[in-house]
Amino acid sequence: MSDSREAVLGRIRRALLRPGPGHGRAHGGPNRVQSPPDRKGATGLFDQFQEQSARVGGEPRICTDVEEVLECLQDLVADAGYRRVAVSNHEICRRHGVAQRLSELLPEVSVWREEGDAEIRGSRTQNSRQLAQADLSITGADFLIAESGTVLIASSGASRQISLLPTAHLALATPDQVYPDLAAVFQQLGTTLEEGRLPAALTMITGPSRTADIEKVLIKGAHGPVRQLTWLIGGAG
Amino acid sequence: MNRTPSQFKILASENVADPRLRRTFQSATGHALGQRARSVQLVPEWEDLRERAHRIKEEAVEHLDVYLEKLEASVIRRGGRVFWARDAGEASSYVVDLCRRLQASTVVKSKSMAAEEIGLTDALEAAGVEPVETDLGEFIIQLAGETPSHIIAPALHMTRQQIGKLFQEKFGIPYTDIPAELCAFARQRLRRQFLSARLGISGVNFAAADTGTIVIVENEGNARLCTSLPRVHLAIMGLEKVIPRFSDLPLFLRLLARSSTGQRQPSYVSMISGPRREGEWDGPEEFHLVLLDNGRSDILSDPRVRRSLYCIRCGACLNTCPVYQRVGGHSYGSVYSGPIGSVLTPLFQGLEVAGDLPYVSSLCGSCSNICPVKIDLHHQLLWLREKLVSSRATPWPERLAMSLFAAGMKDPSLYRMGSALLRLLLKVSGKSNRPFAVPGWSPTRDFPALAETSFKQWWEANRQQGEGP
Repeated sequence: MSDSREAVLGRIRRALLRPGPGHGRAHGGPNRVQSPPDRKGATGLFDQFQEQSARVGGEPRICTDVEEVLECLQDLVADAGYRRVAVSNHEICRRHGVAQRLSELLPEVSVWREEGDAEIRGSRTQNSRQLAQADLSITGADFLIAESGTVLIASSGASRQISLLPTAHLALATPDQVYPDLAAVFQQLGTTLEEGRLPAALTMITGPSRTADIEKVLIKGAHGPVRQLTWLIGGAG
Repeated sequence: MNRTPSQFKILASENVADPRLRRTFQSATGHALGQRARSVQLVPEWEDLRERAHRIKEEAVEHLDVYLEKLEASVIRRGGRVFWARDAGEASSYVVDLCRRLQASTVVKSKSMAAEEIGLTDALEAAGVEPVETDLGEFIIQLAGETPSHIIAPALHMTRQQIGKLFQEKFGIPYTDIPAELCAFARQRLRRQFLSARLGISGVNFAAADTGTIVIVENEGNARLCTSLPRVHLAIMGLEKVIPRFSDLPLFLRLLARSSTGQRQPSYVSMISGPRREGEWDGPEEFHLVLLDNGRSDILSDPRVRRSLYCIRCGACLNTCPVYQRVGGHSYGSVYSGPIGSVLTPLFQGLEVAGDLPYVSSLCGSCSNICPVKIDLHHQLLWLREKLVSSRATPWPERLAMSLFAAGMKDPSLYRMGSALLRLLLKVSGKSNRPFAVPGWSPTRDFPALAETSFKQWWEANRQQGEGP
C-alpha cells in the first residue's frame, strides 16, 4: 500500500521538475471570490431566495409564525393526501414542538419522529426503511442561499436520509439563516465551525430531485423528493 | 477499451449516416449551449471567474504532490482512509478486496468518470460482485451493455422507445415509452438496492486539501443515497481533482453547473468530510478515498499538455464542438469524448492507438473559449499533432506533401512557381471540383472553385486604385 503511495508521489515530483505554465507565478493566499456586497437586507434576500427557488421548481413561502406553519401544514397534508409524515430531530423542529403539535392537529396522519439511538446501526437501518415509506419529511434548514434558492443542511443538525428518502421534503428556516451566496455561508461557517468541526456532510439542496436522462425530458423526483418546500418562520423582517 | 488509430473514421462514418442520431446530438447540444449562455449572461464577472479558476487549478497542478499529501493528511485526520493507485489494476483490486472484506455481493454506484476509465464495473463483475449503476442514464446503458455517449448525459444516444423496449425485455414489465413512468420504475427498483447494499461507490468533482472534503455534484439524488445509506462509502478520484482550499469551492461551483447544464446550482451538492461523526444520525461508518494516477503523472511530465489536467468534466467543450455535435460521443471509441477526450485519450492510451483523435477537430477554438477553467484545448490538440509528426507516425505521402508545402511557403519564387503550376494543372484537368484523387480525402470534399485571377495578380492590378480604408 505504501509502495504505490511512494511510487505515485515520486512520479509526480519527477514530472514537476519540468517547469510548467505559469511557473514561478505567486499562488495561494486566501481566495476571496465573492459577489458584489449585497445590501438588500433580510427581506430582499428572502425575496431573491423565493424567486430562485421557485424558478427551479421549489416551493418557498413566508409564514408569520409557527401557528401559520401548522395551518399551512394541515392544508398541505390534506391537499396532497399525505398519510405518513416524518419529523426530524433538527433544532428548529424541536424548538417549535412540530412533531407533537402535528400529531395533535392531525390524528389521522401517522407522525413519525426520527429518534432512537443514533449510535446503533440497526436503529439507523430501521429509520431508512421508515423514511422510504414516508410521504413528507420536515427538517430544519441550517442556511439558505439567496442567489440560487438553495437550502443547506449539516449532518450534525438532521440526518442525511430524512431530506432524501420521502416523497416530499419541507425545510423550516428562520430569517437570520438567509445569506447572499455560498461564499458568505462559508465565511459564516469559518467563524462558527473551525476546519476540524465541519460536519461529515454538508448538503446543498436546490429544488426537487430531477433528471433529464431520457431524451432530455425533465422529470422531477428521480431518486430524491418530488417536491421541495422551504418555509420561512417569523416573516422576513 | 482497445482502440485502433482508424477507429474514429469507422465509428463516425456509421454514426453520421444515422439521421436520428445526428438530430439527437444536434438538438441536445444546442439546447445545453442555450441554457449555458442564458445563465452565463447573468454573471458579468464570468471572465474574471474563469481566470481565477484557471489560476487555482494551475496552483493545484503545479504543486500536486504538496496538495495531495495535504489532502491525504486531512482525510485521515477526519477518520477516513486513503489509497494511492498507480493504475487501473491497483485501484480495482483495492475495491474488490474491500467488497470481499465487507462480504458485499452488490454495490451501489453513482456516476464516476474515473471508475468508467478504469473499467471498475467489469472488475467487480469478474470478482462476483454485482455493481449497480444508479444514475438513471448509467442504469439504462448498463442494462443495454453500452458505454456513455456524453459526460453529463450518458444515455443521450437512446430514444424513449429503445429504453421502453429494454425495460420490457430485461424486467418483464408492460411496455411504456413515457419517460416519467420509466424513471419511476427505475427509482422503485433501485430503492431496494440502496436499502440493502453495504458499499456505496461515488466519484469526486472536487477534493479540498485543507479540510479533506470531497464534493459531489448531481441532480438525481443517487449520489446522496450512495454516500448516505450503505455502511461504507468509497470515493474514487483522478489525482487532478484536488483543489487547495475549501474556500475555493464557491468559485468552482458557480462555474461547473452553469457550464454543464446552465443551472445556477445543481439539485444537490454533497460536501463530505470523512465518515459519520459521533452523534450524527446517519452516514457511513467507513470512508475510503482512492487517488488514481493511471497515466496522470505522465501527462504532468509534459508541460505543454499539463493544462489538460485542469479539466472539471463539465462537458461544455463537447456541446460546443462542431465535430462532436455531428458525430456524437460513441465515435471517439473511448470513455472521454469531444475535444477534452481527443486530448486525454491519446495521452492516457498512447498516440499509437489514439493518434486519430487529435485530428478530430477543425481547430476552430470554440472549446478553448467555452472552457470554464480556460484550458487551451485546441493548442493541446495541435501539440499532439506535432508529437505525431515528429514521431514519424503520419503516412509518407502526407509527410511529402507537407514538406513540399513548407518549402513553398518559405521561398517566394518557389511559391509563385508552385501556385502557377497548380492553377495550370487545375485548368487543364477540367475537373475543377475534384482535381486530385487523394484516397480518404477527396471523395468527401469538393475543391473550391478557382477565381479567374490569383490574389497576387488581382493585387498588382488593383493596389493603385484604392487608397485603403
